[in-house]
Amino acid sequence: MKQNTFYLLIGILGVLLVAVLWLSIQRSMPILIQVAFLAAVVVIYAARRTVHGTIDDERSSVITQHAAVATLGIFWVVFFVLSLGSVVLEFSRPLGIHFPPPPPPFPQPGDAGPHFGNLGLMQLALLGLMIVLYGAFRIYYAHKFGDWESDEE
Amino acid sequence: MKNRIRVLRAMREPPITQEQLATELRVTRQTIIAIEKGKYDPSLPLAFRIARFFQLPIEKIFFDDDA
Repeated sequence: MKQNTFYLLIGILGVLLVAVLWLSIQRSMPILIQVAFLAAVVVIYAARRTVHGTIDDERSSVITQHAAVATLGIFWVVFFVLSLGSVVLEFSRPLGIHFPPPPPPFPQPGDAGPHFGNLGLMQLALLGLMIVLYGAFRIYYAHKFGDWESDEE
Repeated sequence: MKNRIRVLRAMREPPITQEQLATELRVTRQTIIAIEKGKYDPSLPLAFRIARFFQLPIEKIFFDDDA
């Protein structure tokens, strides 16, 4: 499989996953999107093994390592801060402290306390942040290690 | 870290391109460009491969910035 075909496959799978997510929400069946996502990941990993024509050399590995470490360095702090906030809310509840309802667009359940769906949204937001951070750091380190250097040859 | 890879490529008979050197060393051309411009310091295994390719000791190819 060519690299561009692989990227096309990822795009198609992404669109399909969005459709399945919508279907899953409509039918209130989380198992649909969960199984679909796992299947998509298996397909992507299997397809990646068949990609040819690319050289994964040590410089690209170094870029990946630096980007991953930098992402983790920021991500764990953000994750810890949000988790601390959730823990404080959870432990304060027995004390009878009133919590303000979560701001829109988050779902507003009848019970204003911590909600499983809210936790999922927060996790998705954190994963989104992780992807954005990783992408940004990859660009930064790729630039640092000469990915866009041109030459006269 | 500085190096003489560009000079050594030009001194070979016939001269070798970055693309050819990259293929010989099993890296990308972008890596050769980055090494030549001092943007990336190769690992020891790659430095030894480069030295073997040019049939020179490593210290004849790579120099410390402070040296």
